[in-house]
Amino acid sequence: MRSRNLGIFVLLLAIVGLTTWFNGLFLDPGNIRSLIRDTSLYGLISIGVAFVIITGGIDLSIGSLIALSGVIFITIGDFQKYEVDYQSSVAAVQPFREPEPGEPEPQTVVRLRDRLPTVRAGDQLQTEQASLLVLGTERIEGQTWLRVRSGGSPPTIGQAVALTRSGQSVRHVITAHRSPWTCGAIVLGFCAVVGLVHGLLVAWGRLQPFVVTLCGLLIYRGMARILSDDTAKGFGNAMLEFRQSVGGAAFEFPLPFAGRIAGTSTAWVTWIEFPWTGVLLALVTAAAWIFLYKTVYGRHLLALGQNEQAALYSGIATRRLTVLAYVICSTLAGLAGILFLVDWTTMAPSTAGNFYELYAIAAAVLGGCSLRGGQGALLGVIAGAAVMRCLYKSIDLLGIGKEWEFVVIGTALFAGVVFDEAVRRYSARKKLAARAGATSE
Amino acid sequence: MSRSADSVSSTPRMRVHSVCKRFPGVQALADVSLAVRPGEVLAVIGENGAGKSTLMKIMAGIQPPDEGSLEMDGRPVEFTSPAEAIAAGVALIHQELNLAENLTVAENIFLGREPRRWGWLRSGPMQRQAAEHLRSVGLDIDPATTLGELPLAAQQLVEIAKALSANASLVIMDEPTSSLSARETQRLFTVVDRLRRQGVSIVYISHRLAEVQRLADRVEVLRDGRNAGTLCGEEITHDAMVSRMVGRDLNQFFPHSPHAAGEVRLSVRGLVVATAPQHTIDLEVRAGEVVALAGLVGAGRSELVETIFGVRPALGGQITVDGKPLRGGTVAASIRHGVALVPEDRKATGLLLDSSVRDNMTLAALGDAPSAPWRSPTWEQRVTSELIERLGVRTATQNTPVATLSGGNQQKVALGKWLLREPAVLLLDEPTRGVDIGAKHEIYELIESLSADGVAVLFVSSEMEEVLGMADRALVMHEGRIAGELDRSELSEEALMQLAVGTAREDT
Repeated sequence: MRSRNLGIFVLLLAIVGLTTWFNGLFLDPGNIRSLIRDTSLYGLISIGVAFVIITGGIDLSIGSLIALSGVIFITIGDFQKYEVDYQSSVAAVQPFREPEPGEPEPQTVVRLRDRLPTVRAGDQLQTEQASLLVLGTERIEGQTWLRVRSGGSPPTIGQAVALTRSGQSVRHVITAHRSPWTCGAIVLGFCAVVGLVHGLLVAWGRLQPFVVTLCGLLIYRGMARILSDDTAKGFGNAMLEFRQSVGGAAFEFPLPFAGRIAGTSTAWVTWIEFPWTGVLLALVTAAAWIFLYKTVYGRHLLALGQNEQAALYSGIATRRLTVLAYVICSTLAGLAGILFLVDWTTMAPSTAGNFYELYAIAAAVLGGCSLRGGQGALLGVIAGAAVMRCLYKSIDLLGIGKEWEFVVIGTALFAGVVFDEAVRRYSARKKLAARAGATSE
Repeated sequence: MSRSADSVSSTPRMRVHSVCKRFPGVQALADVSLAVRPGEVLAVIGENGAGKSTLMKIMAGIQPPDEGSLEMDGRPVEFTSPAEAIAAGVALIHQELNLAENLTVAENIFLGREPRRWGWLRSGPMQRQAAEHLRSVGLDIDPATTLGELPLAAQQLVEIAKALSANASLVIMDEPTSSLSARETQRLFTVVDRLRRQGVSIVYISHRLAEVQRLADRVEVLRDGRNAGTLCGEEITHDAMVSRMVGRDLNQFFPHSPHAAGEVRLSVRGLVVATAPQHTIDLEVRAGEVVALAGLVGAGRSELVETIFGVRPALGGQITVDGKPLRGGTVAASIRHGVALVPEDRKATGLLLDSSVRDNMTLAALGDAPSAPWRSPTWEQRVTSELIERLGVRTATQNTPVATLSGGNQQKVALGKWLLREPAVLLLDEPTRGVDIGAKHEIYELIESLSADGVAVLFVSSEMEEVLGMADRALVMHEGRIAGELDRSELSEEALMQLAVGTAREDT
C-alpha cells in the first residue's frame, strides 16, 4: 500500500472503530450487509470517475445519468397489467399427509408453474379429467402449494389446469414487460453512447470536461424528468425474479464477535450475507486493476494523464484513450443506475442521484487520484466510497441529526484530504532531502 | 575590455577560501577556492554536477558551507541568510526571475525598501530613483510600466537594476542568457561591460563558452566539486575551457566521420507546413547521413520536424520513409513507419518527468512489446537495463523519477526511448540543449553509432559548433523555407549565418 492511500484506510478504520465504540449496532449483520451493498453501488461510480480523473478530466453528469438510466430502464421495460383467466400447469404433486380418521377422501398438495392468484377454500381446480375441490394453500419449502381433495384422479405433472370459482374462471392480474436483461443492455448501451459523446467533445472538440459534463448534468436530469412526466416510476410488483437475483446475496461470510458486539445474538461468529452487487464491484475492480496496471493501455492512460503532450509525442493514441475513459465512466454510471433502481424500486426523476457525482469524485480524490491527472488507486477509491457510506450510517446510529449529514461528511473529507496532503508533503520533503544529497547541483 | 593589470593587485571583492560542502552521499564541493576582484568579470564554468550552483548558493548566503570561509573586501563574513548577503552587497540573479509581474518596474526595484515617510509611500522619489537605476543598466523605459508587459530580457535588466539599487558590489549571474535572443544578449553584455567599468564585480555562470570568451577577464573551471584550473586573458579559448571541464583532450569531442550514404530513407516532397503555408519544403536524408537543420530561432525548424513526425498537420505534400508514403499524418503512423522525434522541450513533450526511468524508456515501445497488450515487467526491466548501459545513463535505479536526473541524463532517456523501436529516421530537435559537456559528447557518440548503423539523422541545432562538428550536410532555414544547403566542404560559420539571416541568395 502506497503512503498516498494510507490516510483513507486509517480514516475508514477510525470511523468504523469509533462508531462501533459508541453504538455496537453498527456491527449488526443487517447494517453490514446494507453497508456493503451501498459501498458497492457508490464504488462503481467512483471507479468510473477515477478513470476520467486519471486523464485529468472530470465527470459531473453521473448523478443525472443515474436518474436517467433508471427512468429509461422502466420506460423500456414497458410494464403493463392485464386481468386474465388463470391458467397454469402442474409442476409437482404429492400427498398432503395421511388422511385423519373421519376424513372422507385423501388430500393432495399441488404446485403450479405460475404464481397463484388469491385462492379461497371452495374454489375448484379444473383438470382434464376432474374438478377438484380446493381446501386451501400450504407453504412447503418456501413455496405455496394448493391443498386439494384428490378423490380418485389426482392431477399428474405437466397437466394443464385452471381455477374456477362458482363456475366462473378465477381472474388474476399479470404484468407484462420486456426482459430486464434487454432493458439493462439497452441502458448500458445508451450510457456508453453518452460517454462516447462526452469523450469526443473533450478529445476532438477540445472542450473543457467540466463544461461538457456540467451541460450533461443539466440535460440528463431534464431528460429524465421529461421521459417520466416528472413522476416517480418504479417496478410495481414486476420483475421480482430479476430483482431478487440482482439484489440478493451471493454467499455468506463469517464475522467473529459481530453479533455479540451488536447485542443481536450470542453466537461468537455471525454469518453475514454478501450481496451480488459486492461481487460485481469486485469483478469491475479486478478488471479495472488489470487494465490499469497489467496492460499497455493502462500505462498509456496514466502517461496521458501525467503529461498529454509527452504521451502524444510518444505515439500514444491520447484521444482514443480519453474517449475510452469517458465511456467507462458513463457506462458504470448506467450500471449503478440500474442497481440503484433495483435497490430503491422506484426512480424519482428530479431527486434520484443528486450529488452522486460529487460523492464519486470525493471518493476518488480521497482514494488517491489527483485531479491533476496521471494518478490512480483503485482500492483507495473503494475505501473512499466506503468512508462516505460509513459516515452516513454513523450519523444515523450516533443520533446526530440528519441535518448534520453534509457538515459531517464535508468535515471528514476535508480531514482526510489534509492528512493525505500532510503525508505527501512530508515524504516529498524527505525525498527532496535525499535528492539534494544525491546531486551536488 | 578592461583586463587591466592593476586590478590584479587589489584586494578581492570576495574571496572563497577552501570551501567544502557535503550532502548525504556526495561531496558537492571539496576545498574550492576562488577570488573575484573589483571591476572584474569572473566566469565560473563546469559540467552539470560540477558544483557551480552549490558554490553560488554559498556565496549568496542561501546555504552555509560545511568548512572554509568567505571574505568580502578583506573582512571575513558569514552569511546565515540571503538577506545578510544582500546587505553585504551580494546580488544573485537567477535563471528564473524573482520579480512580481503585476507590479510596476519601480515597485519591483524597491520591493520591500520603498522610499517612505511616516508609512506613506513616496512615489515621486521612487520613480526618479528607479529611472536612474534603469538608465544605468541601459534600459530606457517608464518605471511605471507593469513588469509583466516587458520582454524577458528587459525583466532581467530590471532585476540587475534592482540589485544595483541595493548597492550590490558583487553580482552573481546564473545562466543569464539562457532565454534571451541574440540581440538581447548583446544588450546584456553592454550592461555587464558598463558594470565592470563602474567597479562592480561579476560572477558569470554560463554553458555558452562563446559568451564566456567574449566577457570574462578570468575563468574558473570546476570539475567534480574541485578547482580544475584558472584561465586568464589569452588562455581563454574554447578548447582550453572544454578540455579542463571534461578533463580530457578534445580531438575526439565531435566523433563524426562521414559514412558512405546509402539509400534515401526520408524523403519530403512539396511539404506545406501550417505555420508557413506560402512555402513548400523538399528534403532527403539518406541512410548513414547526419543532416543538420540550421537557422535562427523562429525560422520554422521545429515546426518542420514536428510536421514530419505528425504532431502538426501538413497542409500538403508527401513524406516517404524507406519508399513507403506516410499516410494519416498521425504520430502513431509516423512511429510505425520508423520515424522518431526527440523534441526540443524534453520536460514538456519528451518525458514524463514524474515517471520512472523505466516507464519513460519503455513508453514508446510498449505497444509493440513482445507481450503486448499485456505488460511484462521482466521484459521492461531487461530492456531498460540494456538501454541504461548502452547510453551510460547515470541513475540510482530504474525506478528513479527522471525529474531527479541531470539534464544530460534526462536527454539520454528522451533519446533512449526510441532506440527500442530501431528507428529508420531519427529527428532530433536541439539534442544537446541544457546538457553538460560530458553528456553532449556521449550523445554525439550515440548519434554517430546510429548513423553508422544506417539510421537517417536529421537534427535541428542552434549551436554553430554542433552543426560544424556533426553534420554531413546542413539545410539552413530562413522564415519558414529552406534557404540553402551546404555540403560538409562548404560548411562554415559565415556561410551558415548568411543563409540563416537571409542575406545570401541561393537557389534551392
